[in-house]
Amino acid sequence: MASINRLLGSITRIAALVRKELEGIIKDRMALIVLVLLPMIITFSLGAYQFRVLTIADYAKVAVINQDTSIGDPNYDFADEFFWELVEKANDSVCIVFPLNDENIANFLLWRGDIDAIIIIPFGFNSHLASNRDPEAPIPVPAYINVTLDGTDLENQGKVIDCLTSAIADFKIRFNFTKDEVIPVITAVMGPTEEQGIDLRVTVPLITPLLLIGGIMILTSQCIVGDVPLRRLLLTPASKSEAVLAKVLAYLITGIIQMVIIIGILSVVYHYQPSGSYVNLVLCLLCISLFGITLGVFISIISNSRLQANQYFIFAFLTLVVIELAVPVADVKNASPLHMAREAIINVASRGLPLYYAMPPMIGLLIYSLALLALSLAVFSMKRSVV
Amino acid sequence: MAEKFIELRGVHVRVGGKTILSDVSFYAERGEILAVIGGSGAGKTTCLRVMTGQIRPVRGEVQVAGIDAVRDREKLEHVLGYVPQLDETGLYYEFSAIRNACLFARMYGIPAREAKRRAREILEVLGFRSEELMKKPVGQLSGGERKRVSICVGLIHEPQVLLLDEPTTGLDAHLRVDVLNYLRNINRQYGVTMGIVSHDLETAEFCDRVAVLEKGHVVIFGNPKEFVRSIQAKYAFILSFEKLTDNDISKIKSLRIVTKVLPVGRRTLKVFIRKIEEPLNVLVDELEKVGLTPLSVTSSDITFTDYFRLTAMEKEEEPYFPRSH
Ligand SMILES: Nc1ncnc2c1ncn2[C@@H]1O[C@H](COP(=O)(O)OP(=O)(O)O)[C@@H](O)[C@H]1O
Ligand SMILES: [Mg+2]
Repeated sequence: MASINRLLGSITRIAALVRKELEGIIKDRMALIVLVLLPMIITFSLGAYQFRVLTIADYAKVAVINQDTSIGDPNYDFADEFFWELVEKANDSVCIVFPLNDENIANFLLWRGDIDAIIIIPFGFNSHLASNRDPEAPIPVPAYINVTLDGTDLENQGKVIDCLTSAIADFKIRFNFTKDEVIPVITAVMGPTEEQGIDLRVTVPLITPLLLIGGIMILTSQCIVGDVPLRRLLLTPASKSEAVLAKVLAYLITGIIQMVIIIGILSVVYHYQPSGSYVNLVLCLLCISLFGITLGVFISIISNSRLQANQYFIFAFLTLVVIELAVPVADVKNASPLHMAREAIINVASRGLPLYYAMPPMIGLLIYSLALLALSLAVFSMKRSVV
Repeated sequence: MAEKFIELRGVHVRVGGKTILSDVSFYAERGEILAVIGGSGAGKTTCLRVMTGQIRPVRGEVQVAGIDAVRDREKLEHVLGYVPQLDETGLYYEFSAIRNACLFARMYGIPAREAKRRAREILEVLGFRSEELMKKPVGQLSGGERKRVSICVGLIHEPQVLLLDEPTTGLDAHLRVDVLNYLRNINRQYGVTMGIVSHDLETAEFCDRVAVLEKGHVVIFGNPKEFVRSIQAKYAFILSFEKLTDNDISKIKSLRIVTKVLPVGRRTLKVFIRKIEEPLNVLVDELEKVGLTPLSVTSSDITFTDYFRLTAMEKEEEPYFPRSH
């Protein structure tokens, strides 16, 4: 009975503290800027500038399907030779090229993000090329190859195109083709549609976590160090863990508002629509938001002044961004929260995969958040605060 | 004998290898107002933090409302109200007085409606006349008003003991008296035992008991009225002269009717007169007999401040405290 009463008392206090926090956020001009202005400025500037993401560690995986059974030159199988040409160029272009038989399986793998491109050498490749050997033929009969790219991933698209063009060039030199005999037909799937205009399926997974984490961190990194009267509240039956929990809850609500604003701007201005369900996207974004909140709260607890909290925030945020954008080590990148966030959004919103596929990064983010929360509570309980 | 309701016994506090309080002892009985007075850095705030359990003394006992503040810190929460020195550390400036009070009340599980009723009642005792004032953001109130809001927050859970850190500091003279009078009203109305920390000796006048701190030591502790009584005077006059020499002061001191003399200005003295008939006439007569004619004579009160100044002066005249000139 006593413990139930204690729990009820605790819930009452947390509810009151959440309400206080939200009222404070509403009255805070900084919060308004972060919640409304920042997403607007950044999403609007998206239209003028397309993000290119630099990564070196990831190999683009290319499945090659050879469907050509036509007869051409008696000495060479051009389709086979072209495949080996691709294999040879793969390493320089940071690609991995491998043969596959079933087009359906290839499409499924592409959709899931397991591979980045499918190259199909269609029936007729050999016979078309062989007909160009006739010096009397005035017009070249082009041999097409069909390339399907994963539209959600700009960097890997670049790698595949690079591999493809250098393979075609060397192939033509080797067999003395001098005109446009080999023509790739390239389609990017799951990528930006014409109506969307910009690469939303690429940029949204990058911009949204940046906005969500950065924005909420600006606010939460001040939320304890800047809450001076909190120390007086701690002289009441309210405990430090209740105070921290209330802050996390309040900012989670704020985070939801932030999401609605960001998605709202994207859909109104750019007609953005996630490929999957909104529910999955929101669940993803909640994990991302929670990570930003707990990191901010942690910063706020270890800081001794508002200024120091700001400096820690800038340091932490830059570290996150640099690891995501510039560190070429795959293991480090895969453990990076921003990378997890991007992965999760790509899978549920750009590819439209079921939530299951976003689980590993989401669980990763949750583990980070819980660890930060535990650390925050431990540090806070040791910190002596006096009024 | 009444119950000791606030009590420090032989308290030592060290922070970072530095002794801040050494052998500090004082107490207040139930329903009394205790003043802890000292200069800046004397250790007043530290005394309060010891009473609220925020700081643990290395030695000594602290008891507040019958609770051991060292061992049972948690139990203090319900019986103790605290008004910190700076209002910005104790109030949410963007919230109104009522909202601040309600927020703190919710921490004690007091229902919102009851909290509002109490807040209004206390604010009224504290001189808040209009509803508008109670609903204005605290940041837009004046210093004196804000201090009273902070006091209201400290009282919202009906504590048995209220501790206040320099409630009058930074206020204009008339507001200082106002706040102290309001505290007296609260003390009477709710029977709250109070501990007031101040660097202002005048505060002692409003209190039942006073402890003076100097560099972490208690140098004076007792009932201010008894200290005033120890001057053994019934009347006090402030005399000003055209010129005043040390010799003149000695002459005045040796007068039969004068118990103490306190220089208050370059040519001004406060003289304390024992109980006699027609003190003013007798004083002027006696002064004329030794050849002194004051420019003006003003009747004055005998206060704890006088006692404090007199003892400080007498201490300085002791031979083993040579003056540094
Ligand atoms: N946390 C602390 N660390 C080191 N010294 C402190 C700390 N708190 C107070 N002091 C020192 O203790 C002395 C008394 O401080 P305090 O109780 O705040 O004085 P008061 O309230 O009378 O001005 C001061 O000299 C102050 O510098
Ligand atoms: Mg102080």
